[in-house]
Amino acid sequence: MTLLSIRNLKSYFVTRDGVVKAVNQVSLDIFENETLGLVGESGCGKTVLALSILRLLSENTVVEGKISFKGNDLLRLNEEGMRDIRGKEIAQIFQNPLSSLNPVLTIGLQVSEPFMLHRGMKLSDAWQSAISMLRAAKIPSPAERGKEYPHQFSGGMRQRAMISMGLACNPALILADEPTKGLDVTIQSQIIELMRELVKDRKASMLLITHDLAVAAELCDRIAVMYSGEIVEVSEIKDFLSNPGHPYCRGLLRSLPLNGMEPIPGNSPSLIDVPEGCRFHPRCKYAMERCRNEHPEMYEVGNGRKTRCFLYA
Amino acid sequence: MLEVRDIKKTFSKGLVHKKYLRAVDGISFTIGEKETFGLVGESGCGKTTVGRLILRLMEPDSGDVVFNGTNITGLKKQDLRKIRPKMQILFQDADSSLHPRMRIWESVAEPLKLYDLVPESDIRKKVLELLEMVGLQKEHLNRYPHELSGGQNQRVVLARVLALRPQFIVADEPTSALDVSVQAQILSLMNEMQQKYGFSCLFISHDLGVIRKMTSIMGVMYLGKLVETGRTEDVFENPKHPYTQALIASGRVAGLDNEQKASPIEGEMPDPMNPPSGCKFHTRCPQKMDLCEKIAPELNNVGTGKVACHLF
Repeated sequence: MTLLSIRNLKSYFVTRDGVVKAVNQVSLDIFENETLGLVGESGCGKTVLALSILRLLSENTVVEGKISFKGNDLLRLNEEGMRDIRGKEIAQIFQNPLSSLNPVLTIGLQVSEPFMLHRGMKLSDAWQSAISMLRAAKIPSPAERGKEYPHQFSGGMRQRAMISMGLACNPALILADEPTKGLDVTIQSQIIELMRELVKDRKASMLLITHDLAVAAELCDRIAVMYSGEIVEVSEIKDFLSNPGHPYCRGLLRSLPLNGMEPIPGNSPSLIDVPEGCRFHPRCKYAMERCRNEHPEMYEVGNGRKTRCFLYA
Repeated sequence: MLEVRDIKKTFSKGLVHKKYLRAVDGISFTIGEKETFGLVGESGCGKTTVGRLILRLMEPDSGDVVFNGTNITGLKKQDLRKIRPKMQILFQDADSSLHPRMRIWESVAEPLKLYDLVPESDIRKKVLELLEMVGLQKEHLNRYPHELSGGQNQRVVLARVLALRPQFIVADEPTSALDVSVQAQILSLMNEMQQKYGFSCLFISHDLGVIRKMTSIMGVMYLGKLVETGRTEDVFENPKHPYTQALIASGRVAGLDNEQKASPIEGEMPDPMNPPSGCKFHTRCPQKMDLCEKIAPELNNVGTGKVACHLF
């Protein structure tokens, strides 16, 4: 069952230098009870895609298309309707918890907030629920630590607090933007383990945004790869890892240190001035005449897999 | 080529109630000619401090650094200046290693002028040659750092470092701010340059995959001490110290195997201002014994490498 369906989403920023096409004609489905990885290099538009879903982009952004969620089109819902969705139905776990948490409120109070806002609880009840959320996120002695402020928490503990906050109202969908960025490897695997457990327990779906293929490999059921504002491949994670389709995806896997560390030549194009035809063609070793002139569609490759490449046309 | 003997560095905090942080607590290793030594550990373990102590960008409290037979810890400023071009460093953040108001060619030309390596009239030619060697073109000469990408700036910094023909380079997380495909470009370039110029390298990283690919010998640091050293392949094939084992398990370096599920170690790194007694890892160690709380283990020969653990 499809939980969230994105159709032809465009998110453009108008800047002095030109129009930045951060998300360009993206269509993507997130199913119930699945973790979908959204992978791509910095500046490919993956964070903007997540922010577009919750309508958290600034006013000067042009967002077009359709995002259907439980019978609503999120792009056409009024602000009040959105407020009921944010945090309650769809929660976001941001990267960099230190700047996402309020420095002058205690952790416990911040985790209580969604309970008060969306469940109408009184502070004392909300506090109790917050403490049990912190316990579920494996924060040791949660009743005491709930009274502390974000700066007293370590990076890993802050991320656990963020996760508690995100999961507080049992959202149907969690948008997690680089939740392990900036953490040490041993802490990273603790957080990954925790997210796997909590998300599966609650039968929630998750859109996991990451640039780290190893994190995606551990947590995701399916994966979508973005390049230069577009989705270039959607696939089951297993098929993707064993046999990536799109030349960019093959290059990405091969550039990992343990897969030979073979670089992809060239640089990602600017989102203002994208190449004609296939956006990857200037860096692609399979580029044909057609790739320079025509823009490829997403082609079915079998087993629910789609790739934006003329090799599969 | 380079020998580090028992270097120590303590930082202090506070005026009346002084607190001490033993950032580097007695570390020794050697790096041979054309060899790359990998130093791996989590943030705050002191690995960056080691790199800076070796280059005397910070003064060690005690211990010696011997470079090509010269003990550089006692050198005076003038003598140190003569050795500096032979020992260079690549920082993590290339964008801030370059002067924002200097054009690319000026940044690369500076060391050439400073050490009078090339006659004034040939400088631009030499700069272009260096930039082309690291994969940049003529069009980049007159740009400013903010006009280039992170990967391109790291290439510029590498060109500037190589301008001095160093014999030894400290690479402090040179690619941790870069995307994987760009990381692969920069690391391959470093390998190529090492083949060409034959410098030795201390490669500092928290990324085990990168360490495995780039280095031939390595050391694992935890709270200011080396807990294991050895040939890189041996350490990865057969990690001995429980911390190394945990790092390798959680670093998912076995590849992108979806089935493999690492069991993370418990807890977090203790406060370095107030480190645990005995073995500093005992608070998180799954194989802790009573002895570990009391006595700090020494780094002893085990197999082909060295391990600081009471299990051996």
